[in-house]
Amino acid sequence: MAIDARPDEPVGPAQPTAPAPAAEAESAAALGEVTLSGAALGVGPRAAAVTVGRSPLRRTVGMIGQYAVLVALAVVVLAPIALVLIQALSSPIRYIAAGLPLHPVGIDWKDRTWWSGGAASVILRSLVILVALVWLQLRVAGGRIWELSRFRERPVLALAVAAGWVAVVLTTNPIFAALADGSSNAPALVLVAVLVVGATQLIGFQAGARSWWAALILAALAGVGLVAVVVICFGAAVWTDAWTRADLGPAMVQSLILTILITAAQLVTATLAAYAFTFLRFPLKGLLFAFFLGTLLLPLEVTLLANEYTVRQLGWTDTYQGLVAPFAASAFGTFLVRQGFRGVPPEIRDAAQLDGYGHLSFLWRFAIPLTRPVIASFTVIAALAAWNQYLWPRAIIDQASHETAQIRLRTLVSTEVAQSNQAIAAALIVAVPVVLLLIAFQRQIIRGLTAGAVKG
Amino acid sequence: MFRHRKALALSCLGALLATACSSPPTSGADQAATGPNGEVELPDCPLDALAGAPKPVEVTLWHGLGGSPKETLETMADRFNASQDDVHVTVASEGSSHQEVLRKYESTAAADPSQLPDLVLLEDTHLRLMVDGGRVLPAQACMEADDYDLTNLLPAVRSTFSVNDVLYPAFTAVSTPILYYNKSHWARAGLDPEDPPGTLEELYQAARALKDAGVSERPLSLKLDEWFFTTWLSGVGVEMVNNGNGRDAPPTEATFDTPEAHELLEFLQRMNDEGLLNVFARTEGNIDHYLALAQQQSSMLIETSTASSTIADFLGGTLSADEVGEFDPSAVDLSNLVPGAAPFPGIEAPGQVFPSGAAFFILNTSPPEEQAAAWEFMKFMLQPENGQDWHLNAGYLPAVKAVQDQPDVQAFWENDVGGLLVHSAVEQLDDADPDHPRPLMGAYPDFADQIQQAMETVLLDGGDIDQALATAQANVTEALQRYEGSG
Repeated sequence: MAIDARPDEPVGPAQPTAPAPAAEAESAAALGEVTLSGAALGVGPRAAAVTVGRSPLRRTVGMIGQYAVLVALAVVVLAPIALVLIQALSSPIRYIAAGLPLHPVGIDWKDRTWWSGGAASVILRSLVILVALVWLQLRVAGGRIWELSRFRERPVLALAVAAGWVAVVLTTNPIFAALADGSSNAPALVLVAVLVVGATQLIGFQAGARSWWAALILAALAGVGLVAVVVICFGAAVWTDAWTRADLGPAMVQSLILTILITAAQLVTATLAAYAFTFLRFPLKGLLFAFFLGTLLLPLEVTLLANEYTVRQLGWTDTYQGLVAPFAASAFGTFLVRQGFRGVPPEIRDAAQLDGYGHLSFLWRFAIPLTRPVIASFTVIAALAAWNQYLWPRAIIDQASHETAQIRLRTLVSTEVAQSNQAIAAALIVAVPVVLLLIAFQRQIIRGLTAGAVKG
Repeated sequence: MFRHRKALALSCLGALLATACSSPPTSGADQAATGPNGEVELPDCPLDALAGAPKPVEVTLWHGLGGSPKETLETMADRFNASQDDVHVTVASEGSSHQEVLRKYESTAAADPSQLPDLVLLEDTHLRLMVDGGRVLPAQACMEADDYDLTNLLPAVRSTFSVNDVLYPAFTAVSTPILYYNKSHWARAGLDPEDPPGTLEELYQAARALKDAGVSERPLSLKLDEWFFTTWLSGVGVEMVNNGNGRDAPPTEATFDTPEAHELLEFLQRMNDEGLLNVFARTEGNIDHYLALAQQQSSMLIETSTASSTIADFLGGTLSADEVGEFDPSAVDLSNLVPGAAPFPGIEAPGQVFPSGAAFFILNTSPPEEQAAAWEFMKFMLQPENGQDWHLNAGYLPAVKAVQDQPDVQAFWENDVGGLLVHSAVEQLDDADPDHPRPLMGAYPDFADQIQQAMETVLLDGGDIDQALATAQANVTEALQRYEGSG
């Protein structure tokens, strides 16, 4: 009963999101690599003839095994995302009537063109596509998304980006019209769009990719990914329906402010407290730290009533201080950053002291830069927790104008069976910032996870 | 190491103590409505306070509705605000269930009662709790002060929402359980689509026939809800708790472990064993019992009357009211689902139900002018031409008799699939026996949990009926006494 997989709970970090074009493109790229290497098997015997060690046959079988596992894993990871997307796009009544198929049915398409919806919306849409194109081109050319100077070195990449944007705009307009009219030539138009967009990307890819067929496959995947993202995200009415019905705009701004405030407060308090617990000597240090950790044992549910009582008596309902105050410090963060600080060699501390560094400048110049991966990980964890909060805002917010995104999601997930796909769509929209955050901090987190794995 | 462990233990203890001490004390506010001898003394409804107050008086309303009831309530408040300049109502959603609103209501009341709203929408199961809390201004006081005729309300609704003969909430969101069924299946099994089962015995016969004809795998889809269990037993006069089902005095003992309860569970168990029952646990947001009907695995569903519009949209698909109302098997493709509705099949007779649902309570913690203003809004909702939206759009049954005479409502029952379905619930509510209202107790949530657990033990885990009922009864008695002890 797949329709029952409605996100009742606040969306977690693992919640997949469809509207994030970068994530889509990334998974497409990951699949592309798998396919590429699979294709490499075709030339296996001749290439393997020069390898030393294991027999070519065993090597081939081993590789097939590896890629089979990779493909299986990719399916396991992507299937739930696909299912959620199908559920979000399908109107539940028609979806059930069709017998819960593995493709969306009864999608409500918007009657639109690329240019409808106002200037801000057009600019935003164009930016999303441009960023995706730039990322694709630079990635294939072996660069990172901020290394824009590569465009000067290879103007053909810039040409590919510009041509790609024009192609997306020109080829998706007829698709929107065909889908809105329910015309039968929509699949043909989609195919044309994929081919044209793929061709524009090939201009850049053939300069950067390892071989021509790698460029071809990547271009095909880029075409499919871009057109799919544009058609699904900009064409389907469910996203705007969910957005307006839950009035997500102001609620997401509210959540964003709340998240920034809580994350900043926790970073400051955790870093300073961890510094004190690591580098300073004071009486009862161990006992105090144990007290600090003891608060980890008290989940929000335990302290909720008491905190609500306090905050209500302070008259802090419907205010930011009421929302932030109970979370301004985090025992977990202090513990995490302290563990990071303990890894700073005492010699550095001594040397810094000899050079006349005070506490704050040592913290700022040495301790924090040396533990950046840990602090980055904590930033992500704190921001995720703050963004996904439900219980506390629900308790302390009385007025609709102060509701956070998670509260709005909750009001969508109700007994309204006929519109349950809007609730899923809204949950996906609310998950977008989380995914963007994870992508932005991805490298830092991985570095944090593997820090200390190899002793230097 | 040892030092650390001791320190950790100490810190935990300290933290726990701190929480325990700062948790709000349970309030034992004064009883507003009952005198020392149990006779009724209505408090004053400060109607005059509105005249002298600076306008507009702000009224806040807390609710936990979602979907179309939420939208209807907001629209009604907007209409009220537009209709006059003295009072402005702000509707605030405080959660997606009445339980969530109750939690918030209680913690706010403990922290700072002045932050409570002027009106709160809670369930009938919370009635005793609300009255015992002493923060409710009985609507009857305002009705009498404002010369509103109480007999405008259906007698069964009045008795359900009264404690010691005082009506507490003003406006209500009433529903009753009804039987939804698929007329196509009836026709395919050779049954008369216009003759749905009226009693449990007939329900069994129909289910048997549907199963034997191979029309549906498990003909009756049933959510394990305390509400249905209590409705069945109350229909034949079983008192679930002592002291007149809690209506004469606060109950001290559960009394539902009766031969009737045994028979009911045995009946359901037999249906389940014979593969006639499609059982679903009651969890939040679960719609599987609807899906069973939609996918035609089941032919019947017992659900709230409020679900009629959902059933109409969801299951009726593109059918018109004509096709659904006057069912003609030859004119309709029988592979389609054609929804019909019938009164609740009782143990002895059809339609043996009590009204239940949510109700608007006016709180006495607000300044007098806001209490009066809250009553103004309630009075607006009680007028048939305004209250009809509550029936037409939100799906609740008309608690005010005159709503039924509204032309729009009459047309709704004629021309709308949802209206056709809900009509049997309306008739059933008209005839509901005011002497058999829902049991009244402060510990209703515990009672509901225990009954539900007993049903789950028997129907999902194949447990023993005697033991399940005995355990539930003992646990409810304990919960009742705990509630009384704490009050």
